[in-house]
Amino acid sequence: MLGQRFSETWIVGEPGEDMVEALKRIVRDSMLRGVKRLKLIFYLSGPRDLNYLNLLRPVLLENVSMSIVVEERPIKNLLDDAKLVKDEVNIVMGSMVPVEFMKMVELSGEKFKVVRVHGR
Amino acid sequence: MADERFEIILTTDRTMMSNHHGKEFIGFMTTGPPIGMPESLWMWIAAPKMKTDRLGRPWQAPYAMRKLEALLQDHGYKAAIIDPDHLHKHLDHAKILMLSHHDYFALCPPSSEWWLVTKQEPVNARSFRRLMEKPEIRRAKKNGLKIIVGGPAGWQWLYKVDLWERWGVDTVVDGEGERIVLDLVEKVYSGEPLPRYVFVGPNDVPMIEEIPKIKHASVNGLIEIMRGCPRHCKFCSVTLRPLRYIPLEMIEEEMLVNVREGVKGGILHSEDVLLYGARGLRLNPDALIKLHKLARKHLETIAWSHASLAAIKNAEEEYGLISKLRKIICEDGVQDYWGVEVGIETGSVKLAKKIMPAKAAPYPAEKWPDVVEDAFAIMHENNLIPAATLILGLPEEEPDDVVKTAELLDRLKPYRSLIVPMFFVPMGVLKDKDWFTTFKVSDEHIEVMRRCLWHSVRWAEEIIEKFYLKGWSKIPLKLMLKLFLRYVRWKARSVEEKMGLRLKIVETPLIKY
Repeated sequence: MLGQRFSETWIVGEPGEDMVEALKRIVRDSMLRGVKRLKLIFYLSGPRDLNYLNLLRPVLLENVSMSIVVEERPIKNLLDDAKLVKDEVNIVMGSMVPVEFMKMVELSGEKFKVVRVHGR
Repeated sequence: MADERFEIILTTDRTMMSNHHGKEFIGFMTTGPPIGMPESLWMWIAAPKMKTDRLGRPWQAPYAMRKLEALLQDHGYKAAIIDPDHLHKHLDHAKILMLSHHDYFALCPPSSEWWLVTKQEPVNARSFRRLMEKPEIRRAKKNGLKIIVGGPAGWQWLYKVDLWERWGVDTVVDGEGERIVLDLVEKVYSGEPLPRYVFVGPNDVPMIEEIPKIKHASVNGLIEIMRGCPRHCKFCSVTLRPLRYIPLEMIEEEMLVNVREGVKGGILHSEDVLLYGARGLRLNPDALIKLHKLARKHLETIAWSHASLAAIKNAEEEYGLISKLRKIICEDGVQDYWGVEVGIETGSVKLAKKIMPAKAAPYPAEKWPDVVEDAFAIMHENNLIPAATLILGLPEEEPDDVVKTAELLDRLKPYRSLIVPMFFVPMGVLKDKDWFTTFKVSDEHIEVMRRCLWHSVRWAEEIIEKFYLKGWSKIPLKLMLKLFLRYVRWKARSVEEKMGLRLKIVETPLIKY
């Protein structure tokens, strides 16, 4: 199952309450577009703290029709992962996003679709 | 010795790893707290220990776990289900611990009702916590054991993130496991990180040919005959998945696995047994008769897991099918009744039309209360004993809807049955609805709960005496349950008196409580 194509959303920076609506919108839009599989990848900086799952609960419960996979990756892998991206990736930015990544996103053209930036 | 080492251990706590004295319905006692007796005695009644072999492999194990055990073994993994009391023999050299449960944290109905009513945590949640705190699991976790949890209650972990973290659960799986489990195991074996959470959507459920056959006995001989349900009730998650009928050959092979291992009875499992082989909601009497003749050929006793009330009425009225199936099931006097779970859900036509418009089909939703009563009458006449549920606190429920449910309960008084009220738990397409935070128990809810209690106590006494626990070996259990029912009567009366409710009891000419 995991080997199939997943539509990806990256959550970069520290997750906060303010990104819940953005993620809900992504889930709803994906269901409406007939997406079958969605992957939510959290790039986290600190030691493993699952508190973000409390924020994610209402987002996950919006869904009934897609397979959803939630992954965690260390933020130090972010730039390397970004270089390997082929399909469009939605980006939801929390607080404390690395500047290098912001620059990369700006220069990447249509590869990254920034759905929400912290504080804006 | 090396061959006796398993790298993947599947387990669950005692409330699940038990055959409940061979009486599936007694298993429901694990959803309550110990009432009027010590927990150890309650557990002996509700979930006695399972017989195991030298390695701790249980004689019977939950069916869904048997499926995954078979899948992993078929793919060459050293995997086995191990009884929770024998984990210490294996965890030091295991790579993965897989857990499954119907109700990890007692958040599902009816556990949540008993918790709310008694203010005591049910034994299923207590027992699961004891399992997770076992020193052998904690030690193995520190040494790198991966913990993957799933099963029908997988969603509950989203409400218990603190325990998810504290117990070091690596991955939570919500949904049918056949396709995802192998991926997760491969990741562990290749040292790749595991995803934190997986929801298996309808496009990733297994096809019939991907569903493995169990290799060892399931609890009380339960065997799946189909997956999915076409009724699309909004509160149900099963209905979101595609409908798949298990072929008779596969059902027969699994029955024989159970019989060979000494489990002589069987439970046919489906969300609606009478829809086996159906074309949409059109019943298929031939398929049902073949299925039951097959079961009769191999099994000493037959039970159904679930059936819909509309299908029961339709089956009897259009095809005389309940009577025909009774003849097969009760042939030669080997059994004189059989059990099933049914869903009343509500007595309100307004709510029925909103949340379960196809539940009454082929009858119109407007006729729902009549469908319920007619089906109960058919079951009563045929010695089909239902354990019925109804749901309180459905979204958009108004006091008048609950009154309608109470009125329907009055109409059901003459029919042999147990009726259990359940508080709404958001599942299916209603799963994003608010839940515990908003639910308020009203006077109407209390009245419905009272009527259910007295109905069930009255009929439970007869069912235990005349049907359920026969034979010398069942006498101690029968006595315990009778004492328990007496205690419930006494306790309920004293609570009612305290609340000033006794005076309000309306006794019908049919039955006096």
